[in-house]
Amino acid sequence: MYYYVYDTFLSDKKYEKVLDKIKVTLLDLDIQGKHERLTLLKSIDELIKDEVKRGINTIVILGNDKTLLRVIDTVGRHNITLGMIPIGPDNSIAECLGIPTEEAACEIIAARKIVQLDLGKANDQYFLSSLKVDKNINRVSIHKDNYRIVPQPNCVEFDIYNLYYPEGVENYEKQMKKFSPQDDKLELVIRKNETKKTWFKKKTGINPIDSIIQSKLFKIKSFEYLPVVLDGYKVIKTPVIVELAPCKLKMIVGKDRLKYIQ
Amino acid sequence: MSMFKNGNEEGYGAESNGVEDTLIGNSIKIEGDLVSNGSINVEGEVVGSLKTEKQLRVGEKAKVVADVKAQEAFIAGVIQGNITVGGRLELASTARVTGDLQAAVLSIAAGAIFNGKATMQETSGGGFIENKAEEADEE
Repeated sequence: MYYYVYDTFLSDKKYEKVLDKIKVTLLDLDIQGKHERLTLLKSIDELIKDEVKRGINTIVILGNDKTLLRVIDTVGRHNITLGMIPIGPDNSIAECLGIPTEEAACEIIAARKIVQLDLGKANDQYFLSSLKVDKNINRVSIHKDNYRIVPQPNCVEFDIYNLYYPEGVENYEKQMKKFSPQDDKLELVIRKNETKKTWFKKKTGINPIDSIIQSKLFKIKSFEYLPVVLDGYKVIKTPVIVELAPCKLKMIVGKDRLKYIQ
Repeated sequence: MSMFKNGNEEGYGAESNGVEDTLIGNSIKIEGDLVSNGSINVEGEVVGSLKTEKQLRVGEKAKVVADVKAQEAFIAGVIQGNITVGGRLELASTARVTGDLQAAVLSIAAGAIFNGKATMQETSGGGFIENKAEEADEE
């Protein structure tokens, strides 16, 4: 049984027609289910937990990258399949997974091609994409096996990636292969200040990658509590143990997904 | 000719294709025992020990204060410690090594500075040839 969860931004009138089309397509494809619109007063976590108790085994979120990332922690705790109908801008993850936007995505849901993706776990929180620290880097050390990684003054940010999804996926495919969500590893990426300035190159706003270390487990320690941002929305504080989660995410994907996602 | 290309081409740069497991840039310092089953490319600083079952590349600006073990190694930076390599060890002209070397195949470019003892295992037989190269600065 399917459970469709609509992000709050879809309450805007401009999405009415798109949502109607999607509902008709779902009806045509005979993959109907319960539809729920999120509001500021409804916790997405609680809604999903309740529906899982009632026997739902597939959740389809309607929205964008942020909507998807917000349900990962709850979905990671239950053995349920996750689908997505991307609507609006900021849908790079869907692009990576080969899911077209709006009603075209309904056919992907109906075809139900499921892949298993790694999940990261930071303390007791699951994440799909990344963990970021970009403040007071000089007060942090990262521990792996029998050594520690000490950021130097030119280090401005570090991230631990499971799935990397920069905007403009097609331009980054080779780089993204390093950060496959199916390689059973997490990648610690250290970025440094961009030192080269040229007249002709456009500034990308992304600091260049300086170091990459792969592992299944990292420990982030600091002299004081520092914020660590999970999947771009959830903030936890150091110390953090970051590891590859024992469970996998069952995700419905399209055939036009990136080649390295099997 | 170097057995490794420069870090951006071979390593984790934008055009890399998954050969190396570890890239240590100049924005971090590693302290402790770094052991890897993949290749290691060092452009920063390592203090402790360094061990890999595959290739090691130490860049021109890198500084390694550690005993090093690798299957193959290309050294262009500073190493203070003993180097043990199962296969080919190459010191580039910019290399500065203080410590003993052990390798099956050794290549030292003109300009490299090496202070220590070199021990080589003959590839055809099992014997060792020892070259005492203490204070032997290659010009």
